[in-house]
Amino acid sequence: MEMDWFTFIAQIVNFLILVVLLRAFLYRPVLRVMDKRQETIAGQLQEARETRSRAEEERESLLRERDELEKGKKEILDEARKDAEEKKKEMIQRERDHVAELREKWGENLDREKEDFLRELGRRVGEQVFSVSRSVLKEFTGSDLEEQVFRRFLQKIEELDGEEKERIRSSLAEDRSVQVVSAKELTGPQREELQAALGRILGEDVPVRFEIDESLIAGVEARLGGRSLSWSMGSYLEAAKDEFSRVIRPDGKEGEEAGPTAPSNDTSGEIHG
Amino acid sequence: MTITPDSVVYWQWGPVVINATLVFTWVTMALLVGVSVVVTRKLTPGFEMGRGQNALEAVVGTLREQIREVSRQDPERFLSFIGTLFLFIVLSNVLGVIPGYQSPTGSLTTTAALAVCVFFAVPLFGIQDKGLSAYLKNYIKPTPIMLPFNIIGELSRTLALAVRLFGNIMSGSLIAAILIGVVPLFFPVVMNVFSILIGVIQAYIFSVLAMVYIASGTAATGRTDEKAQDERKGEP
Repeated sequence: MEMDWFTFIAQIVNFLILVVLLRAFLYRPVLRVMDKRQETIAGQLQEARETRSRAEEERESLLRERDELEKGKKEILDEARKDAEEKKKEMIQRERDHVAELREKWGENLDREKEDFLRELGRRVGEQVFSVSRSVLKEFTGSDLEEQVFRRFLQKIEELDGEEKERIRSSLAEDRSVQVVSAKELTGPQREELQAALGRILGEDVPVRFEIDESLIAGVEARLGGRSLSWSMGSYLEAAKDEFSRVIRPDGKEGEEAGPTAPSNDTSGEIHG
Repeated sequence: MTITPDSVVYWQWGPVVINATLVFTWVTMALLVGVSVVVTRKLTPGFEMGRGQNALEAVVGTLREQIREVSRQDPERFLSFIGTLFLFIVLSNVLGVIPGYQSPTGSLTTTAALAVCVFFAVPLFGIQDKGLSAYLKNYIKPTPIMLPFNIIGELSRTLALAVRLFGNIMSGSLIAAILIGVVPLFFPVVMNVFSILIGVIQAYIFSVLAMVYIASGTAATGRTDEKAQDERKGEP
């Protein structure tokens, strides 16, 4: 078998040309494109990884934030609950105070009314008793109750001890006004008698001013300077008032000291110093 | 009956002969380059690509991977040479089933030319890789006594490369031609299919052997791809 040397050389050249051509038109461009795609894929993978890690971080931070919010919400709720509780207590306290105040006011009103009632009652009772006493006295002795009361008052003045007289005198030295207050107007002889009695005590004549005060019911009072001498039904009335007050006391112990109780001091009355 | 397409002469002027071998070589080259040019004119680096691009990428990618596996070195610098060898041979062999097509690889001239190319490529790549003296030292390894045997081995494997391809392709077309005379129906078709298989296998064998020879010239010292890369990194 013979070799055609021209063909042999030509084939070598042909092959080398083919290598060059394919290198230029096939391998280079195709490889370039493939590498570029590879790069793109790698870049996208990298990007995806980064995105994923970013998303992961974002998720972590969001979760943390949500936890904090959740915690914050709980705190706020707790606080609100506590506030509401406090407010409730405060309101209850306020209402309680209000009620207590009302009750106190009501109690005061009640006391006042009771007081008024008792005073009124005492006055009425005094008047009644006095008028009854007056009628009875007139019926049996023919004498006037006012006259009797006046006599008793005079007697009281006469019976004053020296020390008391001295005290009255010294008090009159500062203020020389003498005032005699009675429930009914005193008669002329009574006035003279009283003036004489006072002059005996004080050792000198003093001008006396006579006044009327019906609230005394039956009684006479002499105001000498800063001191006063009197006979009145006040003590009896006080005792009666005490008795009534015990009766209407809200604790219901009225039975304890029940029964008619006379004033412990005698009917001659007393001297109020 | 023609044993070699060399003897089919179309035009002659002195020593210049235009025979079937050259003509069909040019046809094959034109086909390869034409398809490449047409397809690579509109390449896209994206993920949407034409069928042609996909096919070429598959071919080139497979070649690259095969070269990487065989040589265990960076495949890029061998791709042009080995890839062209394979593509030219396989196309010539496969086109041989077309009636009227004379496979250039069925000519000893062509296979010898390709083998000579490999013969020269081995030292060229070796010297490019490690320098002249280091490459030449390969011939006196393991001892200088081996020098003549190494040289004989170099020559004989080139001869074997050329004759193996020529013999296989020539015999394939010859058998087909003979069988057409003996059993005109069906059997030649089977033999043609068979010859396609043989043609592809031979192209693969030729390319892989060429790669092995070149790789032994460049990495005969047992360097692996990784080692080469390490050394390259270590360089200033």
